Amino acid sequence: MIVAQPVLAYLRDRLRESLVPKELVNDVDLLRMLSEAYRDACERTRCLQAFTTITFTGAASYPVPDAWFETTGVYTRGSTLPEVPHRLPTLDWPSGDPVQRVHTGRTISFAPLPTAGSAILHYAESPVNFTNIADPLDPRYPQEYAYLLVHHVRWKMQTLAGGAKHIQASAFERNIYDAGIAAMRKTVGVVNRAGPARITLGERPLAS
Amino acid sequence: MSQRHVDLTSDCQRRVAAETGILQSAAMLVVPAGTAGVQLDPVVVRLLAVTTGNVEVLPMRAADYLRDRSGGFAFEPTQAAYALIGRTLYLSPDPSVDTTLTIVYTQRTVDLDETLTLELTGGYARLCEQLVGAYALLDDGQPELAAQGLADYQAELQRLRLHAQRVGVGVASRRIGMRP
Repeated sequence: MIVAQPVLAYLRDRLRESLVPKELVNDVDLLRMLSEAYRDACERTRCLQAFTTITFTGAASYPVPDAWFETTGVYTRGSTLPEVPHRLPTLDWPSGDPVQRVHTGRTISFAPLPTAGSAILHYAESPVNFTNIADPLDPRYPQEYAYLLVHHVRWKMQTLAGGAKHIQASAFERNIYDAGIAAMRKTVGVVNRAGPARITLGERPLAS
Repeated sequence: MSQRHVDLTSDCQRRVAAETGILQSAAMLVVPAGTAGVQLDPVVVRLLAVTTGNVEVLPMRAADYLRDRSGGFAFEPTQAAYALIGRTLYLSPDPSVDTTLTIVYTQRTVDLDETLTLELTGGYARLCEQLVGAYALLDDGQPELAAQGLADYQAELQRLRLHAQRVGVGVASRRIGMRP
Protein backbone atom coordinates (compact mmCIF):
# COMPACT_ATOMS: atom_id res chain seq x y z
CA MET A 1 0.00 0.00 0.00
CA ILE A 2 1.45 3.32 -1.05
CA VAL A 3 0.85 6.11 1.48
CA ALA A 4 1.77 9.78 1.33
CA GLN A 5 5.37 10.45 2.34
CA PRO A 6 6.50 12.92 5.03
CA VAL A 7 6.40 16.43 3.64
CA LEU A 8 10.14 16.94 3.08
CA ALA A 9 10.55 13.68 1.18
CA TYR A 10 7.62 14.70 -1.02
CA LEU A 11 9.14 18.13 -1.70
CA ARG A 12 12.51 16.55 -2.48
CA ASP A 13 10.89 14.20 -4.98
CA ARG A 14 9.08 17.07 -6.66
CA LEU A 15 12.37 18.90 -7.03
CA ARG A 16 14.09 15.79 -8.37
CA GLU A 17 11.24 15.39 -10.83
CA SER A 18 11.87 18.79 -12.35
CA LEU A 19 15.29 20.33 -12.58
CA VAL A 20 17.51 19.15 -9.79
CA PRO A 21 19.47 16.13 -11.06
CA LYS A 22 21.21 13.97 -8.46
CA GLU A 23 24.52 14.25 -10.33
CA LEU A 24 24.63 18.01 -9.72
CA VAL A 25 22.92 18.38 -6.35
CA ASN A 26 23.06 15.66 -3.72
CA ASP A 27 20.45 15.12 -1.02
CA VAL A 28 22.46 16.98 1.63
CA ASP A 29 22.63 20.10 -0.55
CA LEU A 30 18.98 19.80 -1.40
CA LEU A 31 18.06 19.59 2.29
CA ARG A 32 20.15 22.71 2.90
CA MET A 33 18.32 24.54 0.11
CA LEU A 34 14.97 23.46 1.54
CA SER A 35 16.13 24.74 4.95
CA GLU A 36 16.97 28.12 3.43
CA ALA A 37 13.58 28.27 1.75
CA TYR A 38 11.87 27.31 5.01
CA ARG A 39 13.76 29.98 6.95
CA ASP A 40 12.89 32.60 4.34
CA ALA A 41 9.19 31.69 4.39
CA CYS A 42 9.03 31.68 8.21
CA GLU A 43 10.85 34.98 8.54
CA ARG A 44 8.87 36.75 5.83
CA THR A 45 5.51 35.64 7.24
CA ARG A 46 6.50 35.77 10.94
CA CYS A 47 4.46 32.62 11.37
CA LEU A 48 6.52 31.21 14.27
CA GLN A 49 5.08 33.41 17.01
CA ALA A 50 6.19 33.01 20.63
CA PHE A 51 6.55 35.00 23.84
CA THR A 52 8.70 34.94 26.93
CA THR A 53 8.92 36.83 30.21
CA ILE A 54 11.93 39.01 31.03
CA THR A 55 12.39 39.58 34.75
CA PHE A 56 14.05 42.90 35.52
CA THR A 57 17.13 42.52 37.70
CA GLY A 58 18.70 45.92 37.17
CA ALA A 59 20.94 44.59 34.37
CA ALA A 60 21.83 46.98 31.55
CA SER A 61 20.58 44.55 28.91
CA TYR A 62 18.98 41.15 28.51
CA PRO A 63 19.67 38.55 25.80
CA VAL A 64 16.78 37.66 23.52
CA PRO A 65 15.89 33.96 23.07
CA ASP A 66 18.12 31.91 20.73
CA ALA A 67 15.43 31.51 18.09
CA TRP A 68 14.47 35.21 18.18
CA PHE A 69 14.15 36.83 14.77
CA GLU A 70 12.06 39.95 15.28
CA THR A 71 10.22 41.60 18.14
CA THR A 72 6.49 42.02 17.68
CA GLY A 73 5.88 43.91 20.91
CA VAL A 74 7.02 44.31 24.53
CA TYR A 75 4.48 44.79 27.30
CA THR A 76 4.72 45.60 30.96
CA ARG A 77 2.11 46.51 33.54
CA GLY A 78 -0.59 46.82 30.92
CA SER A 79 1.39 49.10 28.58
CA THR A 80 3.15 48.61 25.28
CA LEU A 81 6.76 49.74 25.54
CA PRO A 82 7.76 51.97 22.62
CA GLU A 83 11.10 51.43 20.88
CA VAL A 84 13.60 54.30 21.04
CA PRO A 85 16.73 55.01 18.97
CA HIS A 86 19.93 53.25 20.02
CA ARG A 87 21.74 56.14 21.67
CA LEU A 88 18.99 57.17 24.05
CA PRO A 89 19.33 54.52 26.79
CA THR A 90 22.82 55.79 27.57
CA LEU A 91 21.54 59.28 28.36
CA ASP A 92 20.43 60.40 31.78
CA TRP A 93 16.72 59.90 32.08
CA PRO A 94 14.70 62.00 34.50
CA SER A 95 13.15 59.72 37.05
CA GLY A 96 9.46 59.30 36.42
CA ASP A 97 9.88 59.00 32.65
CA PRO A 98 8.03 56.07 31.11
CA VAL A 99 10.06 52.93 30.43
CA GLN A 100 11.11 52.44 26.80
CA ARG A 101 13.03 49.71 25.02
CA VAL A 102 15.85 49.41 22.53
CA HIS A 103 17.33 46.48 20.63
CA THR A 104 21.06 46.26 20.12
CA GLY A 105 21.95 43.15 18.17
CA ARG A 106 20.52 40.22 20.06
CA THR A 107 20.00 42.07 23.33
CA ILE A 108 17.19 44.24 24.59
CA SER A 109 17.65 47.15 27.01
CA PHE A 110 15.24 49.32 28.88
CA ALA A 111 15.47 52.96 29.88
CA PRO A 112 15.21 54.38 32.44
CA LEU A 113 16.67 51.23 33.99
CA PRO A 114 13.92 49.18 35.65
CA THR A 115 15.08 47.32 38.76
CA ALA A 116 12.00 45.30 39.56
CA GLY A 117 9.03 43.78 37.78
CA SER A 118 8.97 42.06 34.43
CA ALA A 119 8.04 42.49 30.78
CA ILE A 120 6.59 40.14 28.20
CA LEU A 121 8.54 39.90 24.94
CA HIS A 122 6.36 38.87 22.00
CA TYR A 123 8.51 37.83 19.05
CA ALA A 124 8.78 35.87 15.83
CA GLU A 125 11.21 32.95 15.69
CA SER A 126 13.53 31.63 12.99
CA PRO A 127 13.16 27.90 12.41
CA VAL A 128 15.91 25.38 13.04
CA ASN A 129 17.53 23.90 9.94
CA PHE A 130 16.40 20.52 8.71
CA THR A 131 18.86 17.76 9.49
CA ASN A 132 16.95 14.82 8.12
CA ILE A 133 14.52 14.26 5.28
CA ALA A 134 12.04 12.86 7.82
CA ASP A 135 11.99 16.11 9.84
CA PRO A 136 8.51 17.58 10.22
CA LEU A 137 7.63 21.22 9.69
CA ASP A 138 7.01 23.29 12.80
CA PRO A 139 3.31 22.92 13.70
CA ARG A 140 2.99 26.71 13.56
CA TYR A 141 3.92 26.64 9.86
CA PRO A 142 0.68 25.92 7.96
CA GLN A 143 1.32 22.68 6.08
CA GLU A 144 -0.84 23.88 3.19
CA TYR A 145 1.98 26.24 2.28
CA ALA A 146 4.71 23.59 2.17
CA TYR A 147 4.63 23.86 -1.64
CA LEU A 148 6.24 27.31 -1.34
CA LEU A 149 9.56 25.68 -0.49
CA VAL A 150 9.66 23.96 -3.88
CA HIS A 151 9.18 27.27 -5.67
CA HIS A 152 11.87 28.98 -3.60
CA VAL A 153 14.43 26.27 -4.38
CA ARG A 154 13.54 26.29 -8.09
CA TRP A 155 13.75 30.07 -8.18
CA LYS A 156 17.26 29.97 -6.73
CA MET A 157 18.37 27.05 -8.92
CA GLN A 158 17.10 28.66 -12.12
CA THR A 159 18.83 31.92 -11.24
CA LEU A 160 22.10 30.09 -10.64
CA ALA A 161 21.77 28.22 -13.93
CA GLY A 162 21.67 31.55 -15.83
CA GLY A 163 20.69 32.11 -19.45
CA ALA A 164 17.57 33.81 -20.76
CA LYS A 165 15.35 30.72 -20.52
CA HIS A 166 16.33 29.97 -16.93
CA ILE A 167 16.09 33.60 -15.83
CA GLN A 168 12.57 33.77 -17.24
CA ALA A 169 11.66 30.54 -15.46
CA SER A 170 13.18 31.83 -12.21
CA ALA A 171 10.96 34.95 -12.40
CA PHE A 172 7.94 32.69 -12.85
CA GLU A 173 8.86 30.60 -9.81
CA ARG A 174 9.54 33.70 -7.76
CA ASN A 175 6.13 35.15 -8.62
CA ILE A 176 4.41 32.01 -7.38
CA TYR A 177 6.52 32.06 -4.22
CA ASP A 178 5.82 35.74 -3.50
CA ALA A 179 2.08 35.33 -4.08
CA GLY A 180 2.06 32.34 -1.73
CA ILE A 181 3.97 34.26 0.95
CA ALA A 182 1.46 37.12 0.72
CA ALA A 183 -1.43 34.67 1.09
CA MET A 184 0.22 32.86 4.00
CA ARG A 185 0.99 36.12 5.79
CA LYS A 186 -2.74 36.88 5.91
CA THR A 187 -3.33 33.71 7.92
CA VAL A 188 -0.86 34.58 10.70
CA GLY A 189 -2.40 36.11 13.79
CA VAL A 190 -5.91 35.93 12.41
CA VAL A 191 -8.04 34.55 15.17
CA ASN A 192 -11.25 33.96 13.31
CA ARG A 193 -12.84 34.17 9.90
CA ALA A 194 -14.33 37.58 10.53
CA GLY A 195 -10.82 39.06 10.49
CA PRO A 196 -9.90 41.48 13.25
CA ALA A 197 -10.50 40.75 16.90
CA ARG A 198 -13.88 41.79 18.18
CA ILE A 199 -12.70 43.15 21.50
CA THR A 200 -9.69 45.32 22.13
CA LEU A 201 -8.30 46.61 25.37
CA GLY A 202 -7.43 50.23 25.93
CA GLU A 203 -3.80 51.24 26.47
CA ARG A 204 -2.87 52.04 30.04
CA PRO A 205 -0.94 55.34 30.17
CA LEU A 206 2.81 54.73 30.31
CA ALA A 207 4.29 55.15 33.73
CA SER A 208 7.77 54.68 35.09
CA MET B 1 -0.58 4.27 -8.92
CA SER B 2 2.77 5.91 -8.17
CA GLN B 3 4.20 7.45 -5.02
CA ARG B 4 4.34 10.78 -6.83
CA HIS B 5 0.66 10.68 -7.66
CA VAL B 6 -0.33 9.88 -4.06
CA ASP B 7 1.90 12.63 -2.63
CA LEU B 8 0.78 15.24 -5.12
CA THR B 9 -2.92 14.51 -4.70
CA SER B 10 -2.61 14.48 -0.92
CA ASP B 11 -0.85 17.86 -0.92
CA CYS B 12 -3.29 19.41 -3.38
CA GLN B 13 -6.30 18.20 -1.43
CA ARG B 14 -4.84 19.75 1.73
CA ARG B 15 -4.30 23.06 -0.06
CA VAL B 16 -7.78 23.15 -1.62
CA ALA B 17 -9.44 22.29 1.70
CA ALA B 18 -7.54 25.09 3.47
CA GLU B 19 -8.06 27.69 0.76
CA THR B 20 -11.77 27.06 0.42
CA GLY B 21 -12.41 26.26 4.10
CA ILE B 22 -15.08 23.84 2.98
CA LEU B 23 -14.36 21.10 5.53
CA GLN B 24 -15.63 22.25 8.90
CA SER B 25 -15.83 20.42 12.16
CA ALA B 26 -16.44 20.94 15.89
CA ALA B 27 -14.62 19.52 18.90
CA MET B 28 -14.41 19.86 22.66
CA LEU B 29 -11.28 21.30 24.21
CA VAL B 30 -10.62 21.27 27.95
CA VAL B 31 -8.55 24.07 29.46
CA PRO B 32 -7.42 22.89 32.91
CA ALA B 33 -7.85 25.27 35.85
CA GLY B 34 -4.96 27.69 36.23
CA THR B 35 -3.65 26.93 32.72
CA ALA B 36 -4.04 29.76 30.32
CA GLY B 37 -3.14 27.99 27.09
CA VAL B 38 -3.85 24.73 25.29
CA GLN B 39 -2.36 23.41 22.06
CA LEU B 40 -4.69 23.13 19.12
CA ASP B 41 -4.97 19.79 17.40
CA PRO B 42 -2.98 19.54 14.13
CA VAL B 43 -6.22 19.12 12.15
CA VAL B 44 -7.31 22.67 13.01
CA VAL B 45 -6.58 25.08 10.16
CA ARG B 46 -8.57 28.06 11.35
CA LEU B 47 -10.96 28.71 14.22
CA LEU B 48 -14.43 29.82 13.25
CA ALA B 49 -16.04 30.04 16.69
CA VAL B 50 -15.28 29.25 20.33
CA THR B 51 -18.01 28.81 22.92
CA THR B 52 -18.26 27.62 26.49
CA GLY B 53 -21.65 26.39 27.59
CA ASN B 54 -23.99 28.61 25.67
CA VAL B 55 -21.75 31.67 25.83
CA GLU B 56 -19.50 32.78 22.99
CA VAL B 57 -15.82 33.28 23.80
CA LEU B 58 -14.70 36.38 21.91
CA PRO B 59 -11.49 36.56 19.90
CA MET B 60 -8.88 39.10 20.94
CA ARG B 61 -5.53 40.16 19.46
CA ALA B 62 -2.35 38.56 20.78
CA ALA B 63 -1.03 42.03 21.66
CA ASP B 64 -4.08 42.76 23.82
CA TYR B 65 -3.85 39.40 25.52
CA LEU B 66 -0.16 39.84 26.35
CA ARG B 67 -0.67 43.42 27.52
CA ASP B 68 -3.39 42.18 29.85
CA ARG B 69 -1.16 39.33 31.00
CA SER B 70 1.72 41.71 31.75
CA GLY B 71 -0.27 42.96 34.76
CA GLY B 72 -0.73 46.46 36.05
CA PHE B 73 -4.46 46.54 35.91
CA ALA B 74 -7.22 44.10 36.53
CA PHE B 75 -9.03 43.27 33.33
CA GLU B 76 -12.53 42.42 34.41
CA PRO B 77 -14.29 41.18 31.33
CA THR B 78 -17.97 40.46 31.32
CA GLN B 79 -17.25 37.69 28.86
CA ALA B 80 -14.28 35.33 28.43
CA ALA B 81 -11.96 36.00 25.50
CA TYR B 82 -9.29 34.01 23.68
CA ALA B 83 -6.16 34.79 21.72
CA LEU B 84 -4.07 32.61 19.44
CA ILE B 85 -0.28 32.75 19.60
CA GLY B 86 1.32 30.20 17.33
CA ARG B 87 -0.78 27.05 17.74
CA THR B 88 -1.74 27.76 21.34
CA LEU B 89 -5.13 29.07 22.36
CA TYR B 90 -5.01 31.28 25.46
CA LEU B 91 -8.03 32.12 27.55
CA SER B 92 -8.41 35.43 29.31
CA PRO B 93 -8.83 35.60 32.21
CA ASP B 94 -7.06 32.36 33.27
CA PRO B 95 -9.79 29.87 34.12
CA SER B 96 -10.15 29.14 37.83
CA VAL B 97 -11.93 25.84 37.12
CA ASP B 98 -11.55 23.30 34.32
CA THR B 99 -13.23 24.92 31.33
CA THR B 100 -14.64 22.97 28.44
CA LEU B 101 -14.65 24.85 25.17
CA THR B 102 -16.43 23.92 21.98
CA ILE B 103 -14.42 24.98 18.97
CA VAL B 104 -15.70 25.13 15.42
CA TYR B 105 -12.92 25.09 12.87
CA THR B 106 -11.94 24.51 9.28
CA GLN B 107 -10.32 21.14 9.09
CA ARG B 108 -7.08 19.85 7.57
CA THR B 109 -7.41 16.74 5.42
CA VAL B 110 -5.57 13.55 6.33
CA ASP B 111 -2.80 12.09 4.16
CA LEU B 112 -4.02 9.89 1.34
CA ASP B 113 -3.08 6.36 0.42
CA GLU B 114 -3.10 4.73 -3.00
CA THR B 115 -6.87 4.37 -3.01
CA LEU B 116 -6.97 8.18 -3.41
CA THR B 117 -10.26 8.45 -1.56
CA LEU B 118 -10.69 12.21 -1.35
CA GLU B 119 -12.46 13.92 1.52
CA LEU B 120 -13.45 16.66 -0.90
CA THR B 121 -16.36 16.08 -3.20
CA GLY B 122 -18.02 17.65 -6.23
CA GLY B 123 -16.54 20.91 -7.49
CA TYR B 124 -13.94 20.87 -4.71
CA ALA B 125 -12.63 17.47 -5.82
CA ARG B 126 -12.45 18.74 -9.41
CA LEU B 127 -10.55 21.78 -8.16
CA CYS B 128 -8.08 19.44 -6.49
CA GLU B 129 -7.70 17.53 -9.77
CA GLN B 130 -7.05 20.82 -11.58
CA LEU B 131 -4.30 21.74 -9.12
CA VAL B 132 -2.68 18.30 -9.44
CA GLY B 133 -2.60 18.83 -13.22
CA ALA B 134 -1.02 22.27 -12.89
CA TYR B 135 1.66 20.98 -10.48
CA ALA B 136 2.41 18.05 -12.76
CA LEU B 137 2.92 20.41 -15.71
CA LEU B 138 5.17 22.60 -13.62
CA ASP B 139 7.26 19.63 -12.48
CA ASP B 140 7.50 18.43 -16.07
CA GLY B 141 9.11 21.73 -17.07
CA GLN B 142 6.18 23.29 -18.89
CA PRO B 143 5.79 26.64 -17.10
CA GLU B 144 3.54 28.26 -19.73
CA LEU B 145 0.95 25.51 -19.52
CA ALA B 146 1.33 25.33 -15.74
CA ALA B 147 0.74 29.09 -15.47
CA GLN B 148 -2.53 28.68 -17.35
CA GLY B 149 -3.47 25.76 -15.10
CA LEU B 150 -2.74 27.78 -11.95
CA ALA B 151 -4.70 30.78 -13.28
CA ASP B 152 -7.65 28.48 -13.97
CA TYR B 153 -7.29 27.09 -10.46
CA GLN B 154 -7.39 30.59 -8.93
CA ALA B 155 -10.47 31.53 -10.97
CA GLU B 156 -12.32 28.38 -9.97
CA LEU B 157 -11.23 28.81 -6.35
CA GLN B 158 -12.71 32.30 -6.34
CA ARG B 159 -15.95 31.03 -7.86
CA LEU B 160 -16.28 28.31 -5.22
CA ARG B 161 -15.55 30.77 -2.42
CA LEU B 162 -18.31 33.07 -3.67
CA HIS B 163 -20.63 30.12 -3.92
CA ALA B 164 -19.78 29.11 -0.35
CA GLN B 165 -20.44 32.68 0.77
CA ARG B 166 -23.86 32.63 -0.87
CA VAL B 167 -24.90 29.38 0.75
CA GLY B 168 -23.31 30.24 4.09
CA VAL B 169 -20.37 27.87 4.42
CA GLY B 170 -16.64 28.28 4.18
CA VAL B 171 -14.16 30.87 5.40
CA ALA B 172 -15.60 33.63 3.22
CA SER B 173 -19.03 33.47 4.80
CA ARG B 174 -19.98 36.48 6.85
CA ARG B 175 -23.62 37.04 7.48
CA ILE B 176 -25.29 39.98 9.09
CA GLY B 177 -28.27 39.07 11.26
CA MET B 178 -31.69 40.13 10.10
CA ARG B 179 -33.78 42.25 12.42
CA PRO B 180 -37.15 40.63 13.05
